[in-house]
Amino acid sequence: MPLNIDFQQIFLHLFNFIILALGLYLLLYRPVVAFMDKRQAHYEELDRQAAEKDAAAQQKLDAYDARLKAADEEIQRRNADANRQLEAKRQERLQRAQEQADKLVEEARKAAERERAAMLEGAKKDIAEMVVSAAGKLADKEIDPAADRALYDRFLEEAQAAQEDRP
Amino acid sequence: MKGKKRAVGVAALLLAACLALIFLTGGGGGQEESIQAVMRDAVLHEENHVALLGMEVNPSVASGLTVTGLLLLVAALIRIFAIPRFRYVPGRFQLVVEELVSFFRNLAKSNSPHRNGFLGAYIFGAGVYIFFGTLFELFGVQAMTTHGTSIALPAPLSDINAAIAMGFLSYFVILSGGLTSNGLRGVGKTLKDFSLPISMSFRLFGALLSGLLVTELVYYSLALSFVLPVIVAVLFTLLHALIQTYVLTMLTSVFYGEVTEPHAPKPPKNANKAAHAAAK
Repeated sequence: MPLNIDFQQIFLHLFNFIILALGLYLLLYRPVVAFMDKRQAHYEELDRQAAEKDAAAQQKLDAYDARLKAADEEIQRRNADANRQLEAKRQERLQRAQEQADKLVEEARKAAERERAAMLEGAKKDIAEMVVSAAGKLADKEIDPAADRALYDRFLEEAQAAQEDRP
Repeated sequence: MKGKKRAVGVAALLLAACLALIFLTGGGGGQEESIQAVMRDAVLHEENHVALLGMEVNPSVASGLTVTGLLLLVAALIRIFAIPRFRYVPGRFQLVVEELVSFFRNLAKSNSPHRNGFLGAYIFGAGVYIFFGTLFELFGVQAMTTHGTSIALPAPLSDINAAIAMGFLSYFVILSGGLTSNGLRGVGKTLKDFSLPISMSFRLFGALLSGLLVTELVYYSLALSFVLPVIVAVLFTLLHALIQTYVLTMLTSVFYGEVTEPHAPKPPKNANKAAHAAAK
């Protein structure tokens, strides 16, 4: 054969290479590939678990957010209620205080009226007594203009003093 | 003390230089065969044969068997001692092994996305065999020829028979991929590239042989066999090993991917007419 091509040599090389390829496949290629696939599956599983945990954590976070939002709304609602109740109580107390004040003022006014009436009544009585007393004294004395004037002034002074002494 | 050491060193250097000059200027050494005979034997392996199980075979067969034995031994050691200790966070050695396997697996996946399980295993075996088989010639393992002379075992694929075996096997792998994926259509696709096995074989053979010839040329002259082979042989051999490994595995993957690509069914003629009518 040209170029020293020899079928026996070719088949020997073929036989040799097939044994090598088969041996390398069984001893090296397949175990290493199996290991790499196993590792890849392991990391994919870890990745999947991490994604699941992430999703669960996100769900919890959403739930907590919703609860926080509900709590905020509840707090705002209760604050508003408390403010309304406080305002109502304040108005009620204010009104009650106003009523008490009005009542006190009314009572004071009535007491003052009563005192004034009593004072006027007392003054009338005193004036009557003084007039009666003055008339009696006049009846006992002669008519004298100077004495009349002195008597009259005395009456006025006594009336003024009585007025000042009364509380 | 330092002066004495320096003097001894200078004397040793002078002696070494004298010995080198004696060898370089001498007439003998490596020139018993003519350069034509050496080159012809390197290409055709007509003269030097090795005895194997009662047969006279080319030295490359012995090289192939040696490489196979060594690789299987290493693979068995890795399988027994290293792979059971593999960890999810790999160490250096594990990284190298995984990278080696991943390289061929990814090459198969990227070039043949539809069917690549068998292809990955095949190109892994072929790639490892070509790479380490080519590097094997660097070690200069000696073997006894049937004539009783000693020769350094060449790279297995520097024999055209080995290259033909590899080229045709790759072609049949591609053919089998086409057959299993697309049936007769896949076989037809593969047979269309009937020159593929010859081109693959000869490319592999030519590339590896050129490296061998350059090395033989360099070694033929004793004067050139100092220092220079370290650069020429190692560099050429490494480059050939890498390039040819990549070329053959890449070509096999590309053609395999081409013939295993699923065939898209043609749309029915009525559908075409309807589409044209709709376009009008």
